[in-house]
Amino acid sequence: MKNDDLVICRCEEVTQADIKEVISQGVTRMNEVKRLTRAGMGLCQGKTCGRLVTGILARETNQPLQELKPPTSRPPTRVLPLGILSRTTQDDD
Amino acid sequence: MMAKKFDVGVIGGGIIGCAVAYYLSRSGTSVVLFEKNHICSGASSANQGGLAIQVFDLKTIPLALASAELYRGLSDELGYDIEYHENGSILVTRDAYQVPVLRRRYDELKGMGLDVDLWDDDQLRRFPCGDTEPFLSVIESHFDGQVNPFRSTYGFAFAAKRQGVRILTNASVAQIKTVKRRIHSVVLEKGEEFVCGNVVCAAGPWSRQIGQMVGLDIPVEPQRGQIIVTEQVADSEYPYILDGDYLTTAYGIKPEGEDEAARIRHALGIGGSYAQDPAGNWTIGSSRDMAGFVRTNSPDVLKGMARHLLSFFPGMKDINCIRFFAGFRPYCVKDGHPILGRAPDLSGFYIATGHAGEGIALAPATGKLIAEEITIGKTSLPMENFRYERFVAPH
Ligand SMILES: Cc1cc2nc3c(=O)[nH]c(=O)nc-3n(C[C@H](O)[C@H](O)[C@H](O)COP(=O)(O)OP(=O)(O)OC[C@H]3O[C@@H](n4cnc5c(N)ncnc54)[C@H](O)[C@@H]3O)c2cc1C
Repeated sequence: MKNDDLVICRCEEVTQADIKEVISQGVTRMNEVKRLTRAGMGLCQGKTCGRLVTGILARETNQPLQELKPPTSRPPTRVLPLGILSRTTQDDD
Repeated sequence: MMAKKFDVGVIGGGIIGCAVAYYLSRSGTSVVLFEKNHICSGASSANQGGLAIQVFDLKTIPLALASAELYRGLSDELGYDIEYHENGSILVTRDAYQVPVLRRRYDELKGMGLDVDLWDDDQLRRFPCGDTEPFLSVIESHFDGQVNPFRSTYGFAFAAKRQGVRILTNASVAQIKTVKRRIHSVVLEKGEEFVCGNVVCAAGPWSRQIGQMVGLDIPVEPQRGQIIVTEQVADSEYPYILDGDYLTTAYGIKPEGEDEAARIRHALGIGGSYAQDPAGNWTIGSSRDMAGFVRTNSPDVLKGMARHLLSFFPGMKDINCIRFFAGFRPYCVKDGHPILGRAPDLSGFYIATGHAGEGIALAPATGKLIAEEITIGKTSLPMENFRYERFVAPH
């Protein structure tokens, strides 16, 4: 497909081709795509690209979109400087 | 229905199980691997990917060096970039009570002929510590390294699969059948049965449950570790930094005369371990506690780790944390060391676990040695220090 150069995850500069490549190696889960391509591991933690990646995975593996589990989401919900973390208590979520 | 037949069944699709399966597949043995979730879903997905061999227990160092040697050629061998970089590590302290501990460690490493330096005053002064005091002592190792733990685990799994290993995910082992103290078959939760004369327990922190299926107590429990991941920043000249407290919290090497702040850190199991990956993100650890299978972060530990880091590198205070995570080290509660090799009195059962905070570092050598033991009955490195027999009192 001609759109393979399309950058899907801007934080980590992951293209559609990168995502298709790991899927062609046999992975079928969002967690796996994330860990092997780094899509969604950048500053925004997948807030922007999560849906796009899910769409590609669903299409390439013929899985129904709604059955794909989203990747494990990790706290914090917003970025936090180390200096602040060292002084405050963070809620456990 | 006829049960499916294999020479070896490997239980666990973490880095250890995948390494064992890969090295077995090179010898032409027929192998099936059972993973209850997906590949790399346990400890192997929640760690720092470090080979901090300079702080390892001296008994484990030969195994770690053999692993590092294998890692060097592994990207080529697997046809998959596992991002292994031998960029060294530094073990630093600013606590007077740790200085003799580091000195002793340096002498031990030198005694083993390893490539380490103990920095002189000039080198200590030159290290950029911002406006804090210079370190009191630093050991620099030139052979330590870092590897991408996901890519290593999948690299082993993909190569094993190409060489004929059947990899089953969503395949939780529920029962192991024996006949006259010999392994006979493995039964999955879903009921499917696989006949295999040999079974390797590589279930990491869950290994005790596997042992129970054959009446063997594998003394391994989950030791929780927590990590802070930062945003990407410029490459550091020293991408892997450990502090003297790591020796105390990970290996119980207790220095004399620690102060109050150190006592609090040690009570929380905090010992600094800072690694920058090739993309530029730092992972900030480490912590150790026995909290069962509770995979959450605790605020006091995150705060304690951040505070400890900033006491070394105050300039990092404005760097953003983007993610926290926790994982379970497979920790041998009897002595903290790996448990490797055949089980006594149970023919065909092999153990490959208890790697604690070193499983990534030790995976290639573990996989190779276990494969050797199963296929040729002897190993290229002595395994006596790691055998299960050490728990069995001599009669
Ligand atoms: C915070 C943290 C930092 C760390 N840092 C480092 C480091 O820098 N360097 C280093 O070398 N090590 C490090 N480690 C340790 C390393 O992660 C582990 O030693 C290693 O991943 C263990 O691998 P494993 O394959 O034995 O276990 P796991 O990866 O946990 O794999 C075991 C697998 O067995 C499966 N399983 C369990 N029960 C069953 C069943 N009944 N049927 C089928 N499958 C089953 C599980 O689903 C799991 O996937 C760290 C660990 C933590 C927690």
